[in-house]
Amino acid sequence: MPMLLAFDTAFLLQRVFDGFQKGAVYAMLGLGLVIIYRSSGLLNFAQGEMAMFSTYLVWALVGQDAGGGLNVWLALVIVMVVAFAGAAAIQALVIRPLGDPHLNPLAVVIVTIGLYLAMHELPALFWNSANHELASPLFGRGSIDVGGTGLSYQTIGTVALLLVAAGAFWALLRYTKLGLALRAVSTNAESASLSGIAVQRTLMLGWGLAVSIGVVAGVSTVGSLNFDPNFMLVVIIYAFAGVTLGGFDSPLGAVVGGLIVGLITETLPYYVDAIGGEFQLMPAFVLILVVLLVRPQGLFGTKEVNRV
Amino acid sequence: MSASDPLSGSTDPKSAGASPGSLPAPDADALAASGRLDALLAPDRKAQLIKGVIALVLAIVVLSLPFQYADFQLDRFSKVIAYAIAAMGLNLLTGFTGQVSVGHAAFFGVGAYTSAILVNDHGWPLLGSVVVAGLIAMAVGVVVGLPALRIRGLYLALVTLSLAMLFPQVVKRFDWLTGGSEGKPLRTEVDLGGGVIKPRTVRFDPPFGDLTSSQWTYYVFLAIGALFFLVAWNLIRSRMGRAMVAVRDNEIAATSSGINLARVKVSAFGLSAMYAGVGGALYALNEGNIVPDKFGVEDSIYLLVAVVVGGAASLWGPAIGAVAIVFLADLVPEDLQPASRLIQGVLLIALIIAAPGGLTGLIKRGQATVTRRLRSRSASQDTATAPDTRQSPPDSNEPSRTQEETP
Repeated sequence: MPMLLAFDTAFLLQRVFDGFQKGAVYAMLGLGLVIIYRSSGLLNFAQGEMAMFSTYLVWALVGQDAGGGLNVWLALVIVMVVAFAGAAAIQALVIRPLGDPHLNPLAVVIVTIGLYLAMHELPALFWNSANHELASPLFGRGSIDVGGTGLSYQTIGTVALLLVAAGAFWALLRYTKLGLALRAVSTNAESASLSGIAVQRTLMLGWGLAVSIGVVAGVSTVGSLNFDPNFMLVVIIYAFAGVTLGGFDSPLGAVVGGLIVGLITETLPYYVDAIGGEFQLMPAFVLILVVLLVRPQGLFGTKEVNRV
Repeated sequence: MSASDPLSGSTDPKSAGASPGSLPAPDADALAASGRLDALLAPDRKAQLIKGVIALVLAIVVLSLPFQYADFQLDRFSKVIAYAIAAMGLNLLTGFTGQVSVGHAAFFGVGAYTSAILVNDHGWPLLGSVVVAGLIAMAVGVVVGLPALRIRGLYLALVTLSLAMLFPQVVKRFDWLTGGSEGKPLRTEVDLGGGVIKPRTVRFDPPFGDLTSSQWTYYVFLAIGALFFLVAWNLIRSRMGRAMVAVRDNEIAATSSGINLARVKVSAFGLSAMYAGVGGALYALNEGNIVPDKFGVEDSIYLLVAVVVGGAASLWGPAIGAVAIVFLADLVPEDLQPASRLIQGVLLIALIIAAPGGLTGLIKRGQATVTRRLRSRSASQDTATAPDTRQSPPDSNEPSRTQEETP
């Protein structure tokens, strides 16, 4: 992108809208990361690729041409259920045997990265991995005019979905028995187990929830654009940057952090020449590094205490 | 005496040697009398002999490869050595010091680009560029290692993962130096005689004899690889090596026993990055042309795979792993090629769950099982010939007494 010579309000507004659109996606992926971190205590590097594969499933259900296959919302719900089951199975089969993730980070990294590699290749196995597009995007293709700038339905819809997802997640944690169990397990798995909570089953549910939120993130990302299996590769780092900023164990942090990262990465490169063009990851990297060094718990996270 | 005693006694010769003092005398005499102490120690010598023979055979095979394969195959073997050196470095950091890095391709890339820039733009000698590449990668490693003092475990993996994603972008950003996504060739100007000077892709020319440059490259790489292996070998047996392992096993305990955590971690990072840098430089010199996308996440993962497949915290592991990552892709049948990474991913997960020690771990476990089987068989033969010595200690005193009387 060329450096702007004159300040252009409409352009900035466009960038801000794009920032919210991207940020909402990062936030949704981030919510998934937070759920998994809070329940299993690990960073799921495969979160983005799981969302990517789910998006392919939605695409396949919707069909090649509009009206041919399922309604896109119905497809989304079906894939969310499938992803829920798949993620629960993954937790039971490959995550559970690893034990405490902080005692053996290498095994956790290897397994989640193995999942990342495997998931990344799955679409090419079933479908021609060339560029695809959703026949009917979730929110149509139109936009409304705000101050001379097009605010697309997709942006509005994605942010709305994020708010719904975050609200639902908050209500789940706050008001349901499952939410209570999730909180108990993340606070102290042993005590939770002693008070009659099925810890492993709760963890499976946590993974299921996390990955089904990722489905929404994936489908919102592609919108009406062409996509290929690579579309989540870098997005996951932005999502991690958002979660790092917000705090690994804070759902509110994931939302706020994700939106901030979206705004930064969509506006800054167009105004600061040094990070323009292909250098967009730089701000995310610096953000992750600085936050971890200066304030490891992030904006809203709880401080980790090391007991000897 | 239980059947497991011979095993524990022989695997640790010290305890076998100490037992005459610590155990009641008659028992020890019984051991000596039945000649089993010797029998217990003997398999170790045999094992050493077997190990020596295997090492000799391996050395002969490795040294004779250049005369059995065509040049293009040799170039791939040289690539294996380059990766093996980098993986050895990653293993020092991840396997021995416990710091997980998913970003070693970045150090590998720093080495590769340093070498390429020095050789191509400044006409440096090839080996000189390798030395500088190692040093610059080490400097970068120390800088990256500093945050690692505060960032641990999975968070460090996150930081290094983003570093791995960032590196190709950095290379593309500074395309005036690195050639950007077009890639950077490694060429030197060669005087063809008669004042004709032509650029030519770099290669190691043998100073004597009639070896081809691929054969000579292979030997040069092998020598460098052996040197770095020896350094690692000595390092992990040194004070520093023990400190690294202590940090890996328990940081708090290590600190409280006087280990300078910061120094150990930063040195491990620097050293590990230096290995990766040297590996990268050799990789660049072997390929003759490098592109930024060869130093991204995927390649970082390959290095990690080399460490894990070979066996973390095993000196030989990375070499085996490097062979695996370079040749594994060939083993996948043609019609399954699109799924090769899927297969890799699944294999990786299966491996870490089924065999956390990697291939060397599996070999060790296999060895232990076999020796245990052999021992228990010889032990049962012992039981058959002289059941008394095993079943009833009081009886076993008799032969020892007779032996005491004989001298």
